[in-house]
Amino acid sequence: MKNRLRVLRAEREWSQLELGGRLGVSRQAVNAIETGKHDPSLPLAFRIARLFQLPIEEIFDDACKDA
Amino acid sequence: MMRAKMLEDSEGVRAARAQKRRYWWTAALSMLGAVGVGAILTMGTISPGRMSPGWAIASVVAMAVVVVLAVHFTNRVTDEVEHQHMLKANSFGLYFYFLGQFSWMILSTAGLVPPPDAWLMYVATGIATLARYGMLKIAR
Repeated sequence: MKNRLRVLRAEREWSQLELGGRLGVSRQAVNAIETGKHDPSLPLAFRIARLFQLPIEEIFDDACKDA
Repeated sequence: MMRAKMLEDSEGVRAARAQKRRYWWTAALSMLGAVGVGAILTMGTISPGRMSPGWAIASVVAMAVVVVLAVHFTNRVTDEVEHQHMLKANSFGLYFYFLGQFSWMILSTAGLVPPPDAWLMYVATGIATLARYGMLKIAR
């Protein structure tokens, strides 16, 4: 699943460590989500959305929505 | 330098460092528990390969307590990516064990190989699980 996490993080000038700390996950987990190697669980996706004060669908791109 | 210091002291970095500290404390305490169980086992050995029933029961209880506590606290301090890696590695270990054990058993029934060695399977399963976990870490 594609996402805008890296862009949103860069806008706030946060490191992966900083974002991981705010979300309660490791720096490696942030990297795995940003590179699309891991799709976050629904609770984590909601935590990300709350942190950036955006709806989930503005952060994560559902590639299957037209299928 | 000033900016680096600001980032270093930020809320997220402090939280991340606290998470990492909890993780390593849990790992250290688990190791300490494993060493403790090992000490109980060694103390209870009367002669090579022999152990009194009391020590044997105490060892099993201590081992169960250490494993349950270590798993419980590890789950509390690890995130979902780590959980997924552990789950994949453990599943791989389980499949490896089932496949290895039954293949060996069937081949030994036909007289092609010696009977299965429980310790060898145990150690091989551990190595296979760790190898899969390592591969997942490298691939990340």
